[in-house]
Amino acid sequence: MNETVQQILVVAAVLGAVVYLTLRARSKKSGKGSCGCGKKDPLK
Amino acid sequence: MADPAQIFRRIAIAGNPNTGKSTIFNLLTGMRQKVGNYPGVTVEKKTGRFFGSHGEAMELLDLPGSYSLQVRSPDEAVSRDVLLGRVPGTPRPDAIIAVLDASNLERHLYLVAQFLELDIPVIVALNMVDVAEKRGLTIDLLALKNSLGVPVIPMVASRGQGLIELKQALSRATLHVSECKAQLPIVLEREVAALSRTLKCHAGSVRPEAMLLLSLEDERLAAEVNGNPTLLAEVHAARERLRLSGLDPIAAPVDARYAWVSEVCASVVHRRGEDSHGLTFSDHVDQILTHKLWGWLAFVAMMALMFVCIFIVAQAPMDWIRDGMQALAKWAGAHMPDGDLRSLVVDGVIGGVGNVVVFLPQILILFFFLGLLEDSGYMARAAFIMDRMMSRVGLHGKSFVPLLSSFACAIPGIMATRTIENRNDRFVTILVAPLMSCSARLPVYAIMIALLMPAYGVWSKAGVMLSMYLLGILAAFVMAGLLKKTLLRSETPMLLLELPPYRAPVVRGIVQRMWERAVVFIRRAGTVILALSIILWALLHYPKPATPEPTQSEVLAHSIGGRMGHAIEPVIAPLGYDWKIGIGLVASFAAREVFVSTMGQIYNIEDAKEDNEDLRTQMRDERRADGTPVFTPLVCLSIMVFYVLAMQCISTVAIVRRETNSWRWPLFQIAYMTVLAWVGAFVVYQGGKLLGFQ
Repeated sequence: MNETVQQILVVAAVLGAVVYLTLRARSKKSGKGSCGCGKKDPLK
Repeated sequence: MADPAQIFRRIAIAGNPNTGKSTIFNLLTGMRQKVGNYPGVTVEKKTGRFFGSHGEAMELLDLPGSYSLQVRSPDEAVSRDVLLGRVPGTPRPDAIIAVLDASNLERHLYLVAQFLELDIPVIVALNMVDVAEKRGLTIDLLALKNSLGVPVIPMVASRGQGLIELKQALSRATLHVSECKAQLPIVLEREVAALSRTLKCHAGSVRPEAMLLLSLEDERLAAEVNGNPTLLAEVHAARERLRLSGLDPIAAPVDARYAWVSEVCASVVHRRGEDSHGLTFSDHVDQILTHKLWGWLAFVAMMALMFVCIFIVAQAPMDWIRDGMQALAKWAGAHMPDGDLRSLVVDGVIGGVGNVVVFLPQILILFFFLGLLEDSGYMARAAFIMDRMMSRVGLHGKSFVPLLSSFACAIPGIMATRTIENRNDRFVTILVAPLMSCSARLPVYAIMIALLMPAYGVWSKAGVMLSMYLLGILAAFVMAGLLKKTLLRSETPMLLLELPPYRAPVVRGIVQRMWERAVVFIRRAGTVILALSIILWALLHYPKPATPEPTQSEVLAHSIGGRMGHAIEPVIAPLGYDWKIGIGLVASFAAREVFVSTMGQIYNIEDAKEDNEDLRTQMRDERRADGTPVFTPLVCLSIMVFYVLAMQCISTVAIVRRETNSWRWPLFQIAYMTVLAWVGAFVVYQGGKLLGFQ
């Protein structure tokens, strides 16, 4: 595999990871837990 | 067949805590809500759908357990508000399934008395009739049906018995509101009727709302009628009239309901002979398990056995996963050209995720044992024997369930604090819950114990792991005591704990929960841990040094991660850690188990070997500049203590923010736990060195 292609794939993987974690953090503002538990607060 | 899109009936499932509501909910809907043999498992309403006997679609609401509609805690308020039709977007239910524990009918009927006052059709699911039978109780079902004026379905929900009859009862074309109710004093009835005329709410819930307002304590009343001074004045006037006629507005309806319950029970429940001392099987077992001395010994023995099994049983599957991951890394390494992409796949992805996935068997065994202990009813006994310690530090008795849940994950634990009515007690529990060792710490403990005592037997290893769990409990109790005396003062409430009868655990349910945990763990490894591992890989490889042909150590030292590690080295050096451990510490503030994958990546970069050695061997061989080993027994202990006490989980921070509705408390929690972890690790390392250990 060409070195440039490798570099592009590496950058894409890192950017993808950053974007995924950022989007996840935004959607988790409602507080859903890392263990998959917890839903929208019914008390509010 | 009816149109499945159209809801034929909305049904709420309600009752006292620990009566099997969620088990019946799961049976009807086929869903998998968490169930447990102790009160307070459900703290939110859950919704599901099922089809009745004739194929009609029904909606089912699983409500948190409550002892009365005169609520004392936020989770009880959920039940009351749903039943009164107060929750926007949730229509008032068309019927209530009142789940009762047949072995404890007298206490559970009080809530049924209140349900009957709501003017909603009620169907009684008389659960655990087998337990009642074993206790020598005979319940006259026909007499109960006639006394309550509602259908009564005998059930053993854990075995699915009575489900068909319950579905048939729910599918009837019309359900009637019962005419049988507790007889209230006439003056009280008159005031309720008068107040009902002023209230403007859902037609069916006017009378129960009026009844509730009249019997509320002053502070709660003010909160309930918030912003309506006319109504408040009317309620006060009505109460005054009741007092003048010799009635206590709060006690009178309670007394009337209890009188009715006693009358019903007298005609319905018949006792056969108990044993010569009137003791049940549970009572006999409790004489040992809640004994001042034997109770503690039994508790420690059970926990030790659990950790021994974690080490012994998990060993083989862990080796298989480890071998599989190494083979995969080797295969990927052999089939990819040399370069950064190969390093990312082999070290970052396979190394990072693989080192975490290896611990899946241990985590599953932990959940198997926790499931056994919960379902059998032992956990409530554990709370009982800990009560003395808990009350000494001022912890609320209801803190036990949240703290227990935190052994799995702090997030459900913190959510379970909603059962605690007092704000300060609730906040204290939230602030100390992450000190309980969650399952994410298990990989860190396991790898440190493997380094600390490679030649020791499983009992010694289990002993060290148990002591880490006990250290977390002790730290939580000490911190709770301090917080209760300083920032969050409040009176120490008595522990009112219901000891549920011992029940045979349902293995299917436990296996189901283990499966769910496995799915959650693998999903987390394949998403969050994978993403973090990739970012970590980048941080440990870039920027590259300008020198031509740099060595792997130079690459690591020059990288952002390496620089971060060096930057915090002065702070962590007194704890015995080098800059590479520092990188692991910083990375694991996102999630604790990332420590293991970070270490894996760091040592893979440094070794740069094709054969991808076992992480434990790499860590054991790691040397400082002077040739001494990095991971000495003291350093391993110091790291474990740090992980017991540190707040390293972004998700927990988010949930604390949500539950306390402020950033102040989560920030305080991070600060105090980080300081505590640093001091704890410092004391272990420096104290150990002073005592001559290495």
